[in-house]
Amino acid sequence: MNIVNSDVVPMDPREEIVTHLPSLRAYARGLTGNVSAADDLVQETVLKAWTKFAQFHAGTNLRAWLFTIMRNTFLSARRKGAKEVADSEGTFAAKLASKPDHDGRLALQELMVAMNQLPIEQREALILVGALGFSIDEAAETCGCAPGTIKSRVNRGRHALAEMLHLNSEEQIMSTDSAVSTVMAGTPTGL
Amino acid sequence: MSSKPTRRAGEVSPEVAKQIDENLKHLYMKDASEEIPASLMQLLDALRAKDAAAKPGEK
Repeated sequence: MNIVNSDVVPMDPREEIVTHLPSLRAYARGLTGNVSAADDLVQETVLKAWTKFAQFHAGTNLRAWLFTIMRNTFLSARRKGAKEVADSEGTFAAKLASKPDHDGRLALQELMVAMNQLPIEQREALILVGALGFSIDEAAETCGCAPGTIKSRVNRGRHALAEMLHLNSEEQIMSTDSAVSTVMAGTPTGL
Repeated sequence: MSSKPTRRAGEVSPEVAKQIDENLKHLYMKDASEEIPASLMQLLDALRAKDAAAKPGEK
């Protein structure tokens, strides 16, 4: 399945790729749970994409195409045991903890730790749909599965996060004394 | 907004889902958007330079 948008004049993917670097980095951080491993993964993805641009069809969704390359690269390395998969106490969490400028930052660390406890399938579905705003169809294309599977993974992931962060019911969001309540209650100031 | 849709077992409320998503955006996008590492931009420059050195269409 390829999502093709015929209404948009396609850019050269070699130029357009730059616009996707922030979200590629975000996805890589979600997959690896580690800042330096994430940037290595982005570099690998860019290199692989560059060698495959000859196979890229104009009008194809470049973002989903790039994310699929990243996903396959990560999963391949993971299968070989060449990379650390999740690092709940790792450098990304440490980076968050190193900036204790407000409660929201600390709460984000809790969220990060909780995310890293999720199965990779749920974590990536939540990052794609929840954090990066992919449509269900686009996330399904990226992950090579059915849209219903993505929906299910997103739902299960959100449910697990809500359990871990004690956010099971709407009433609890505002009443929990965890620092998470601050950030879950709205956008932290100063961000 | 006044009527509450029924939720399946295991589903969080739309409010909780929205707040989780908003915080996931903060968690993953803020730092990732801050600055692209110089090494990555250098890699792109090198790849473009390599392409430019090759004849167009030659692959």
